Amino acid sequence: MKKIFAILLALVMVLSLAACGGKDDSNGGKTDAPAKTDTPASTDADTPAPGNTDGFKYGFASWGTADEHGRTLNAAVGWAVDAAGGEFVGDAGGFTAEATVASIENLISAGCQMVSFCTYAGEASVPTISDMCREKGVYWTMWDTQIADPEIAAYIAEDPYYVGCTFEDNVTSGYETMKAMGEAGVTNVIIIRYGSGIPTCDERCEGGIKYAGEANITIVDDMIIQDTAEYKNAVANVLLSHPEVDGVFLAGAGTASATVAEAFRGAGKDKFYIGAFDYFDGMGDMLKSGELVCINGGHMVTGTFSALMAINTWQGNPLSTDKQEIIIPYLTLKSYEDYEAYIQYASQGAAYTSEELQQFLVSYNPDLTLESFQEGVSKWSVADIMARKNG
Amino acid sequence: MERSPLIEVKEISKSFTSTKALQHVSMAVYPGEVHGLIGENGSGKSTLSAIISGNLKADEGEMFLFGEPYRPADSFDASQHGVSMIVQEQGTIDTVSVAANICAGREDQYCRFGILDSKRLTQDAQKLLEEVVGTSISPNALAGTLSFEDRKLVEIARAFYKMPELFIVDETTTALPQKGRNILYGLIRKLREAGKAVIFISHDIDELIQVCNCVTILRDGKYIATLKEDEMEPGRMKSLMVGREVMDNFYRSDYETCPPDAPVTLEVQNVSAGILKNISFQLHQGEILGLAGLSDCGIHDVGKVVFGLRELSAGSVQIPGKGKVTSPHRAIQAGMGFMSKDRDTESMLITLNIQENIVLPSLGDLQKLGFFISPRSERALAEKWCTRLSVKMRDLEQSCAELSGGNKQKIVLAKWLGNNSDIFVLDCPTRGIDIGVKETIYRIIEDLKQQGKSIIMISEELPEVIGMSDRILVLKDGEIVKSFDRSPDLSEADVIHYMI
Amino acid sequence: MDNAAKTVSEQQADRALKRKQLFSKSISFLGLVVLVVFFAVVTGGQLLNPDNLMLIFKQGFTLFIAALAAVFIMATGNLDFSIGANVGFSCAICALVAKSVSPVAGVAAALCVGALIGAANGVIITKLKMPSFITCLCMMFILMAATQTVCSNEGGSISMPLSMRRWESVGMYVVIGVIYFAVMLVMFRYTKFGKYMKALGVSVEASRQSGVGVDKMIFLGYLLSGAAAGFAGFLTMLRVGGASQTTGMAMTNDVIVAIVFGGMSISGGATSKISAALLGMLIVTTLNNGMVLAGYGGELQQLVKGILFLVVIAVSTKRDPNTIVK
Repeated sequence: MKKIFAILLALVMVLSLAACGGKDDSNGGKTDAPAKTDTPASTDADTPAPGNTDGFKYGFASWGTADEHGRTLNAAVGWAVDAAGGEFVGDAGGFTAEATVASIENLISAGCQMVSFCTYAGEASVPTISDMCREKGVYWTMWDTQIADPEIAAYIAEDPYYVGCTFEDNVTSGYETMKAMGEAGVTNVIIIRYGSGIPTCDERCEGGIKYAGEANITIVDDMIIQDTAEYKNAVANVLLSHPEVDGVFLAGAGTASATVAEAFRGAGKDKFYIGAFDYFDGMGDMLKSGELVCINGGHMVTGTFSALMAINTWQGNPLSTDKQEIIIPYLTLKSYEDYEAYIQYASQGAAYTSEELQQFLVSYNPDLTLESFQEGVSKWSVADIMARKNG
Repeated sequence: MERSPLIEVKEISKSFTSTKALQHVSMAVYPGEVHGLIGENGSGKSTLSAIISGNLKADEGEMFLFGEPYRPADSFDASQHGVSMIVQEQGTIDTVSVAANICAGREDQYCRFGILDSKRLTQDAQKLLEEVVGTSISPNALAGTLSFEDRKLVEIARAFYKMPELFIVDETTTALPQKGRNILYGLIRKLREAGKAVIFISHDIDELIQVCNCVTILRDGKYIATLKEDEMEPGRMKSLMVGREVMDNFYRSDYETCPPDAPVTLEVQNVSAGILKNISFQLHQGEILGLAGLSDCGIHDVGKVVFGLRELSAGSVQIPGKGKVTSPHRAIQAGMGFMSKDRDTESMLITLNIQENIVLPSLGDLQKLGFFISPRSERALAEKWCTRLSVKMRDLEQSCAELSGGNKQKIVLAKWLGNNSDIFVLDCPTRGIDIGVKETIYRIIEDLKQQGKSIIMISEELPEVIGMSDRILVLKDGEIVKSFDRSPDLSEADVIHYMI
Repeated sequence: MDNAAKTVSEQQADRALKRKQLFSKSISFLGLVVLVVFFAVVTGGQLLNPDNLMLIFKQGFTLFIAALAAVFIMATGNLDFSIGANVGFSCAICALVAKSVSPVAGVAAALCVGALIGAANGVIITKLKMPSFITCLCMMFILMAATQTVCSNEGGSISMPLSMRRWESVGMYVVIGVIYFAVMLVMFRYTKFGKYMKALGVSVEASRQSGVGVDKMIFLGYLLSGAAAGFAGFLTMLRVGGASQTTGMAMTNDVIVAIVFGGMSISGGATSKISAALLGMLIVTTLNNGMVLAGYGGELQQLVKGILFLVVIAVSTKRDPNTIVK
């Protein structure tokens, strides 16, 4: 008997504790529970219902908030939702396609009028999600995603509830990163991809390879390594047979930069150049020492702007009748000063104030168009942020 | 006598949840005594010895060692006070060396600045092995590679690291072959002569009478009596243990043998497997065939071989009319049942309930429509045999782990009876079982014989083998060396002569 | 015979013990009830919305399929670490074959592939005598690599043919669910197969001495688990819309967690019960769904799951000297 009570008690306690501690609102600002707006559902699912300026629930599906990127991503969505006066509902499903589908289902069931997700687990589930949202009359966007399959692109183009997507221009960023490395003096580079057949990864490398071709930088090796713990050994091995290597292009998993640097030092090289994607702790020091030449990250605003895009449509002010595609720039850091600026203005608090974000909503800014929206979004660089903050 | 006790326990009580293992037990052991402690299973004797040796703490009562209060924190503390114990089960650590086992717990003495002086440790271990136990076991050998007997000797050496004041022997001799037993008796004698004391626990009444100069009897956790040397007599001791008059002759009372023209039910021809060499014999209908021998002479292997549990390197085991036995499955199909000497781990599924255990081999027969087994049919089968064998249980859903040894054996028998077995291979069928229940098991075996079943009884308890068998095969070093027919004149000495 | 002779107090003690045991066995069910009540209250009844309940069932369906079959092999004290990878690979093959040959062929392919994988596991473990843990783990790595190769050849993920979209319906779930559960239930509780698996979990040697064909049973256990994983692969594809590189990744963990929450120990044996799969699936899915509905953040969800898992294991592990430690 004791055992039974112990389990049941523990169950109730843990759940209660979690309930008290945990309503997930961004930046701690607790918005009042929104009036239960009826989702424009049931009857005529093909014609979007008239807009609404009341409160709303915005659902965001991601892999989780345990890591830095996930955390900042979810937080960045919160900036937008708060600015627009809505409630943020997050679901951290995990990495699989089933989890994404389940997340969307749960978010819709929780009463969200809009949902957003990314296709990091593959595009195959997009039509399914499209059907789901269409059936329930929920608007949806995709963040960090560009559909590659033409059949799927055609399918969702038919869906009146599909608003659009945000994504990074990975080819250009890759190009610019290799350029920064080249200008710093790199001559022989290893490219490391973090997965096979992943469009984001391959596009970044495509850009990097293009610049290397133009600038006569030799690509000594092009590897696919999924486990970040393996990067160091891999680099060390290449250095054994190719001691002329002096640079590494990390298409992702920026956190491996530290161990890659160790590999170089271990081989006796102290002048080397790393260009990477995805922020990590310790990047500040590496930028300072010059080992890290250029790092791209800060694209958590992909969540912010996909939210604003959707909110405009839901409020009856779609930015375009076509499916919208907004390009999100990376926040490229090339020096320690850049890093400090990032930390101060974009990492701890909100990089945008509520007023600044409201400029992206037609309800506050009637002159807003898709082009001016994109223009505003493009002003996402260290220089831009500092200019904004310092007036 | 005016001497004061070496150790005295007063009003010791111990309960395990609802079971009262010991109730207000008091006992005194004097220097120079070899004090026997005897009782049925559940009498509390093991509990008491565990408390004295520091492995358990009493709920109530006090202990005095040499007149001073004695409250050992654990077994190591007890051994520091001079109280050491050896037990029936394995007490060595297989994966380390003999020397490490012997000096276990005392490694500090061999450490200088944190580094172990293993040479000195090994030397001390060697000395102990030679002096105490007198064998040539290498101190560097891994304990796991030694035979059971040698491992016990290592344990003894460990117990004698420091000459104990009080040495407790808890059921150790039952599993030891003769050589080991003699070494132990020698040590006990030495201790007695040195004015130390020994508490000797055993199931074997005859051995107790031989070794001890007084004996205390416990029953159901209570102290019953202490008999002095001249009062120690088997019948009296048995009665005190059981609480009622016990018939001395509880094996078979007849001296008939099995008629030689009875049909042959099992044919073992030129079997060689492991230690067994060229074993051949026949088993007849209505016969109890006993196998006797030292514990590692191969008698237990015969049982396994006959049941198809061992691969044969030569020869065959056949059931006339049903073919060869090459696996347990075949053996069971041919009507055999096997009771292993390791009851809890091999004969039964201890965490399952009574019903599940009994029906297991018969599931095939209970199937309807080729796959469905109805709970009702299972229940009927289990109930039938539990009633017939008078199993003491709460209900059929009781877990077998909660049953006493005797009842567990009944379940194993019920299992094979429920499967309509004709041939029963029983290995140590009454090991560790109370006298009262032993009797019941013998009656069941006799009953089986009357029904025309064939039984092979493997046992290290000679009185049992002699008392129950129609015919006895004696094995030595893996070969059959002698066959005896049932006869009132057959004595243990006759059999032992061929065993060693 | 002795039952009649028991004293009144002994009989009372017996009844109390039986009540206690009954309670013990129902603890998972009680846990589920508490969970449902709690989240129903916290979400203002949203949890019990019929659409949401259907959602819970749909979300947990593949877990339900895989877990019910996994109970058999887990009852023997063996774990199948390749379940998730099997689901993923079968899903990928199913999508591939469905697109290039026909939808029905895709289903057949998924089942065959899953079963073959299970059979391979079974053969390696019983005939080559490799430890089950290592075998399944290696199989998992092989399958993961295979899935990734197949998917990246097709551009990252494989979509299922649009015609198969119509296959998914409430009716399909209910019919498959009921039939499948009935079959598994009968197989586990009322056939030799199920009972033998439970016996093997207690002691392999004792089972052998009671006539159980050990190797055959273990092989069948893995075969069943593999075939179910194949089926789950097909269902996943149906639900998600296709196959991706990471499909099924979480399934292995989910199955084990669900079965433990459902009241069965991972060492199998006496604690094995088929209801553990169903209850466990309901508990896990309700928990996930409820936490999102109630607005718990991501880390909180992980924390709650982790703590509960530890508590369940700690309390349900018998520290009983009679249990045989494997």
